[in-house]
Amino acid sequence: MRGVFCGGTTMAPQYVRFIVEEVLEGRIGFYPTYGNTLMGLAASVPLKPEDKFSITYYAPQPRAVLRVVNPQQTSQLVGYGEWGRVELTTMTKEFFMPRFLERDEAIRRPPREPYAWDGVAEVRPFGAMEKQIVEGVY
Amino acid sequence: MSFVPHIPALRLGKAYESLEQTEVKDFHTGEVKATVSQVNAGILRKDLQRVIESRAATDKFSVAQLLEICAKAGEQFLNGTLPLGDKGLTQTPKQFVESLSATSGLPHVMVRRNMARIHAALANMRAILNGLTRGLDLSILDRGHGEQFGTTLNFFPTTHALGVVMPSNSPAVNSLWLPAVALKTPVIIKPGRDEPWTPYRLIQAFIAAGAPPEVFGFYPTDHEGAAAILNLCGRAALFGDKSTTTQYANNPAIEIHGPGYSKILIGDDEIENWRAHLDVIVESISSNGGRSCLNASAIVVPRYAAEIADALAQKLGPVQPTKLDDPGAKLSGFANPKMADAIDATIEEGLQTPGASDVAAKHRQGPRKVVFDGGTYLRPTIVLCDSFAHPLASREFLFPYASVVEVPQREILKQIGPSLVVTAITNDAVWTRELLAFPHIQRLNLGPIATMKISWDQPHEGNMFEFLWKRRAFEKG
Repeated sequence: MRGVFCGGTTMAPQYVRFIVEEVLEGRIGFYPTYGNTLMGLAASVPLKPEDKFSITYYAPQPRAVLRVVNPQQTSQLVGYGEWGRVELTTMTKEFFMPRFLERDEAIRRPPREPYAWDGVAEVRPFGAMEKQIVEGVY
Repeated sequence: MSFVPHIPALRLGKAYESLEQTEVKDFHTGEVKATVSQVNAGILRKDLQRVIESRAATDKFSVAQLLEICAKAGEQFLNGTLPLGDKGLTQTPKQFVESLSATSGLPHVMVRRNMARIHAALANMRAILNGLTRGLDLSILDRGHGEQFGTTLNFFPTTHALGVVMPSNSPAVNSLWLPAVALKTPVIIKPGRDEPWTPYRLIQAFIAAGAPPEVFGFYPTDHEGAAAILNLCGRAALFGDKSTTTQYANNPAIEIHGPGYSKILIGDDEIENWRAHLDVIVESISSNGGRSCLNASAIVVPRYAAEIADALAQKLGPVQPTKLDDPGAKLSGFANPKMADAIDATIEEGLQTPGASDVAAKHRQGPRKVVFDGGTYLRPTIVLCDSFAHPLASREFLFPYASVVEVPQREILKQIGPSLVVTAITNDAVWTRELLAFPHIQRLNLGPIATMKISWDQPHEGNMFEFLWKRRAFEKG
């Protein structure tokens, strides 16, 4: 086994650390992704020590654009490092879907090599801190 | 350096700072008094695969050496300045008292009493083991076999480690796992969510006294992690209410420490003297803020139930919350006010069923649940019940609460159910024989003895030696 490719569930930093350090023991690659059929896959950037196991995903622009917006005022972006609701815009030849509010929340992160656009970090179900959410494929 | 201590997990002795931490807060002000690293069940499962190495560390010590370490650890726990967390902070006994009191609601005087109890358990560990083993020459455990009582004896350990899922209600319950260390068994502890202080300080006291750090696991974790401890340790002790413990009740590898349902019974021959025994009953109900499974939660008498209930209510009803450092404090606050809400609601709901009355209400001159100095308290409650069938007759709550039930003496043992402690006030020889033969009492006090009184040399809640070691037939050619 050379690497683990995963997605579809919340990846809190301590859980990422558990997988990287305890399960894969730093010897096997770990590649979390975020996405769905409307977006394609948003890849995560390789972890650096300063990330403290916080995973950031970058949308496959220009086909799809991810923003993190204020849930109460969805025309406004939240600041870098702040939590907000994930908003997806799909722009492919076959399909145009502007500003769809996902059932997810995330932290807004600044651009990072090799991506020149914002990232979304620590994605989890929208309202996860307020109530118990059943996660899964839907 | 942070002034808020961080309490790490101890992964077989090694500090581990998790990215997930909970906060332990002052129950009056909400101020964060410590952060506590949380680990998941996966980390526990992984570490428990290596616990055999911890066992090897204890096997290097004789039981006699471990008894010396226990005695020194007791001194360190009571009087030492010990490491607190992994950021270079230390904790004096006074700071321990203040921190635990502020986050648990237990007044200083009760925390000190609990400390003294733990210290006494460690100082008397030789007597405790003597009681648990019925006088076994403990060097036989070092050698694996030996001659005593005119026969050859061989004991083998039943597990590599003892798992302990702790509650948050009373620090002295930690004394139940202490014999495991002297019995060469590593201890894997899940602390109560609101009470990391006592097990962490105890572990530091043991290490300061010379115990190998890898003998101790300290794993603040969730329900899944607790289940991993219970299912993978080989032997485990679980503290909790009925809803927590029921699923493990028939597992012989798990020792359940659930509700005590401790009681005081008065016989026909002593009932006319009931006034002489009031102080013992009051102490049994209210000592340690009523938070212990040793506290009496039912008073069963053949006559004068109403008079006894009223006399108890007169003594306990007026008790009020006080400042935490008040030396006369008798009530503990609730670190989680929702628990007080739930208890209060349960009692009120029970009182809707005909046949019970809260006799203390008129002496309280106010509600049962009160907020004092920002903390939530429940004031003592004595419920007179017309029978054991009443829903409030056999209940146990985390504050001074007792039912008083009138039952003919000949019916008492048929009705009381299981009890951790029973104090039976009687000189009736026939009834005494029935009490001595009654199997559903774990500790029996004959005479006016408070239910809180325990003896170091007599196990009252399981036998840790028989839990951790087994004898087998053995012959050496």
